[in-house]
Amino acid sequence: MRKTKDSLYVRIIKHTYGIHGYFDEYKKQEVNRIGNNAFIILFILFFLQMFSTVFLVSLLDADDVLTVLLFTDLLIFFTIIFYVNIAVSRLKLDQVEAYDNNDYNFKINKFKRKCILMAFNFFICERILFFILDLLSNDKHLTIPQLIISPRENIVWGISAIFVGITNYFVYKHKIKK
Amino acid sequence: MNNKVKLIRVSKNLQQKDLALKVGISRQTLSLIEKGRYNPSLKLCVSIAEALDSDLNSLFWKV
Repeated sequence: MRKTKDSLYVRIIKHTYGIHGYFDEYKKQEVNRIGNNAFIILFILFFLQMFSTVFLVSLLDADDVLTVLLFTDLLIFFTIIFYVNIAVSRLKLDQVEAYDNNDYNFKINKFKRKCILMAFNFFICERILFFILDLLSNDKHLTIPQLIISPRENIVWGISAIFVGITNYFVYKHKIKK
Repeated sequence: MNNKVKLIRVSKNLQQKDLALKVGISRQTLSLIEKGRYNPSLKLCVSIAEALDSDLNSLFWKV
C-alpha cells in the first residue's frame, strides 16, 4: 500500500472530482457512488429533455427548439457539476492533508504557483476566444493587431484572470487541513 | 465494524499521520476506520496489521 505513481486514469479521476492526496479505497468507493448517482441524474434529465423536445417540435419553431435545447443542456451540465461538487465537499474528499508546518508551507507555495498558472491560462484562453469572436463580428473593421492589442479587452480579462487566480488560491487554502 | 486499530496505534506511540503514511492511505480514511465508520478491504486490513506489527485477529476479530 505504499505510495506509487498514479496512472493517467487515476489522475483524470482525481482532477475531475477535485481530489487531492492518496486516492485510497475509501475515496475510490465514494467516487464510484457519486459517479453512479451523477449518471442516473444525467440519464433522467436527458430522457426528460428528449421527451419534451418531441412535444416542443410540434409547438415551436426549429430555432426556438434549438435555443431551448441549448439552455437545457447547459442546465443539465451545471446540475451535474453542482451535485458532484456538493457530494465531494460534504464527504471532504477534496481536503488537502498537511502533515507538519514544512509540508503546509510546501503545499501553500505549490498552490500559489498553480493559481498563477491558472490565472495565466484563463487569460490566454479568454483572449483567444474573444479574439476569434471579435474577428467574426468585426463590424468596426479593425485590423488583427488592433484586435490583439485592444487595451480595454486586455485590462478587463487581466483583472478577471487575477480575480480567478486569487479566488482559487483562497479556495485551495481553505481546503488544507493541518 | 469495531476494531482496536486506535488502541494499538496509540500503544505504539504512532500518530494517525504516521500510520496513514506507512500504510499509504489518507488520514481521513484511517480516522474513519478507527471510528468504525468505514469497513476496510482485507488487503487494507493486512496492510494496517503489518504496519502496526500486529495481526488481523488482535485488530479486528470479535472486538
